[in-house]
Amino acid sequence: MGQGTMTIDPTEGHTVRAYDRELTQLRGFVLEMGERVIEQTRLAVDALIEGDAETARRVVSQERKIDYMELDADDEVFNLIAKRAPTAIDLRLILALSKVIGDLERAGDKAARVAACAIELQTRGSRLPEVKILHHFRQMAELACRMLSNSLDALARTDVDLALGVFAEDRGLEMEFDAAMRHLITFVFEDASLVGQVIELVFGLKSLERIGNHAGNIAEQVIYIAKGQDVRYQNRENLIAALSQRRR
Amino acid sequence: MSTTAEAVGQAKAAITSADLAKAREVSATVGEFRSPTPRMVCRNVNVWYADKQAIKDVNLDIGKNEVVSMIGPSGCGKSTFLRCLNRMNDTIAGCRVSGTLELDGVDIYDKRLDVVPLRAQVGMVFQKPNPFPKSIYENVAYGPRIHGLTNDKAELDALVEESLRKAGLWEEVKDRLDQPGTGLSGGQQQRLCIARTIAVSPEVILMDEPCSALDPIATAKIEELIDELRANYSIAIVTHSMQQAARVSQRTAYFHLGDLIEVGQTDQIFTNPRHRLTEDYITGRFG
Amino acid sequence: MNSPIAAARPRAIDRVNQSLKRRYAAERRFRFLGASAVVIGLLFVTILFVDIIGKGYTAFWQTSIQLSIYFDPEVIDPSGERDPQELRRADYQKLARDALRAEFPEVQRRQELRELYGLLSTGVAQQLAERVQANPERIGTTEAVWLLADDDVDMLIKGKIDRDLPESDRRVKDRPLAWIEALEAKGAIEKHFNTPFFSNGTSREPELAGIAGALMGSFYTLLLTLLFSFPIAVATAVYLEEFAPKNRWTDLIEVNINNLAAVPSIVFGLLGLAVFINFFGVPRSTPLVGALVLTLMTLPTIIIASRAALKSVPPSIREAALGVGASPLQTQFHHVLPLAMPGMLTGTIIGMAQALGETAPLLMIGMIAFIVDIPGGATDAATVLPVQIFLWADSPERGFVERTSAAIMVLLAFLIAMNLTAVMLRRKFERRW
Repeated sequence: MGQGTMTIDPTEGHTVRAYDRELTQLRGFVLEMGERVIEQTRLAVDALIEGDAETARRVVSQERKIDYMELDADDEVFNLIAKRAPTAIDLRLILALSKVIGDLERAGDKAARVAACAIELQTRGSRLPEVKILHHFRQMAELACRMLSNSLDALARTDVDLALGVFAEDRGLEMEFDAAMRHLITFVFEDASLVGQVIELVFGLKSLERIGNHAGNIAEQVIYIAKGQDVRYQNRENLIAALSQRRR
Repeated sequence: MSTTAEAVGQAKAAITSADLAKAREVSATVGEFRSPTPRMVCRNVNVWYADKQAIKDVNLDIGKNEVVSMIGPSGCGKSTFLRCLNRMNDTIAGCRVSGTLELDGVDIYDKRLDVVPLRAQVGMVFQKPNPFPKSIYENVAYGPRIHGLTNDKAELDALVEESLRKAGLWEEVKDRLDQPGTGLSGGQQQRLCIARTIAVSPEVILMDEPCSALDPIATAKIEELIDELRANYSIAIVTHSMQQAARVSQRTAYFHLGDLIEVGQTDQIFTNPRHRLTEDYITGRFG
Repeated sequence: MNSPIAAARPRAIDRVNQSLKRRYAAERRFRFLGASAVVIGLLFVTILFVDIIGKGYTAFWQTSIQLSIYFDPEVIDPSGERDPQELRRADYQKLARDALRAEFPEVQRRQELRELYGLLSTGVAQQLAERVQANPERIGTTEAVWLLADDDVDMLIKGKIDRDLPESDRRVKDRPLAWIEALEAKGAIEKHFNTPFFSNGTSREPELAGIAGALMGSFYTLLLTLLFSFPIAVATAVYLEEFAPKNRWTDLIEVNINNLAAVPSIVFGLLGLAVFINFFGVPRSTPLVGALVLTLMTLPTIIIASRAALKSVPPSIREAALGVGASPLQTQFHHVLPLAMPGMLTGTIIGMAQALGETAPLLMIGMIAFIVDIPGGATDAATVLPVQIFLWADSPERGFVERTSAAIMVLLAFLIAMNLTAVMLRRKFERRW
């Protein structure tokens, strides 16, 4: 399954080379933003597991930077549309990047939410009832970050296969979340006083799951760029089946 | 009813160069070249200038009340194809046309067919505004007069006014109909040429880069006019401005080195062309 | 830090400045050359005009001698019946001679009398005859009449013959000179406007020679040339340019037309002689045959100019006309021809001017004949202005020198009038856009 005779780099080949540069720049900016979100997520989860309030606070304060990056990237999108009047794949790329920017910003918010959760747990001064629950966090963070990273790679290479792979992992993330929920519910049954902490943890887990969803959204945009088909709100399994089948 | 996913999978065929080579043997054209309500039907049209083939096996319909735009790099044959539609190519020495071209079911390249009434039915507007060096009135009245469309002066006056109104020029020139048409501005001249064309009540109007010599405001006026004219005529327009094609047409045809590469709804062509060449051209990657 | 290469190389603008002076000098030289060419050209034209006008303007005045003529009924109308036939045949010369003898009664000897009669032109008989025919009532009366002087007298009065020369070197001898001076003293010699120059045909006698014949000959010839050549040339040009297929035959025709324009005109004369006169039997020496020959000669010029004019009509106009459904012929006649017309007219005028000045081919078809009568139509024997000039320039009489120049002036005036008409026609056509 070659990645492709058909994958083209949508930022290349314009007669006006400045256009190429601007597109590459915008995409690079978006990728950088994505890297930062992944970094934030990792830091937040680490802070939560290790009870490091200092790092957690840094994550929260860094969240503003991602917001500013969103503003800059939006500016760039605006300029490109106004100046170049993009069509076809260029138009799709720019529109998709614009949506990816939104997704990344919200993913960044979620990372900050995880960090807030860490701070909250720390300030309450209570140790978590069981270390095992933190394993779920690590697991989910691992998955969400990989999805995000893969979707960004897919975006960088306009790689449909990689994007489809992100959809495939969506399921695993969901299962992990469900498992963690069940685990947390048992805590509440055992000790009702833990409810406050458990709610915090649920928020944290939910945030990680949302980050994975955003990665899925980004993968959808990659497919939109490459194929021109809007695949949002569709059954992922069918989609994977249809698009992979094509490939063979 | 198939599932959406299936539709997605089918609609967006990934077209590789190998596919293309295979497709070339059948038909070079990607997309639906037929129109549900065709006015002009062109099948397997080939055009040669002496030994050089300018158009290769082109199939294309021009439907009723639609604007079909033809785009493509210079020398791709789009103008040549346009000029086949009212046999303007007849005037070029060494030009040969084969294939079927029908207007309302009548073969326009039939030996017995007279080109004079054909050109009255299929009017043409040219790249450079070319009003006759006569008065504005005479420019519009010329066609009806030689074809004997009106019975008396009053009728002719009415026809001239109607044509100028349709071309959106009446208000600007009604007080100076006796002044030379060449004294108008470029955009007005082009609208005068359009008025001159519609004065002979054509069914199809061919436009060969009608705005290439005009400024953006004049261009916008012509584009608005084209959109209005669509209600009564079929229009085929050749343009170098892809934005213009996107703005005025319902269907777009992309020509490349004499081949009709892709035809489709303008929306689709400009957001999601299916052929790599089309995409390269409209996104400015050509060459 | 500049790289050594960049430092070593002078800036482009310095080089430009260096070359600037040379370029401007070249420009000035070119402009000077052009201007001097124009000045030299104008100078020669001026010299030509001054020379011709200087020599020729006197021809427009003609010396006359006033004599009191007794219209003797015995001489004019011995039968007294006023028979026009008789009136025409009468010896009017005698009336003039009688009057001269009456003026100078002392002259008796035959030799002297001949000299005395020589003061008057041989044309006076005609002059007096016309007077009588105009009003027969004059018969029997005496009237002071201005009679044409001989060309020698005319030259003397105009100062072309020096009175101070010794008698042997002078064309007017002492005795006639004395009579002339006597008449001058009486005020009986005057210069009048030379109407006969414009109303007479040519003559052996300079004082009687006029250009009316040649003028009418030229007029008829040119008119016919125009009528023949313009339609043929325009039709040819339109056909070749707009309708003819481009193949070997049309190429051949085109090359031939271009070659014909360069054929020496005398060849056309020979052709005319062989074809029109000998084969078709067109009467020789007539404006008709002249026009036919000149048509052949001017056709290539007009065709080439017309084709150029047609080529210069923008193709967009043709497309526009064809585009609204005009037939090819309508396209030509409604749009292309009107636009090409000014250019075609220019070509035609050049051709006509050429024809007007042409002598050589006309020599071959007999238009050089000495023809006194003014032609009344295209089939009368005639000559044309340039041929007339050629003939006069060849004549030995002193009086023909000024007439030659005068004829040249008339020819030029004719030419200018023609060109002006053409310019006006052009204007008119052009105003229709």
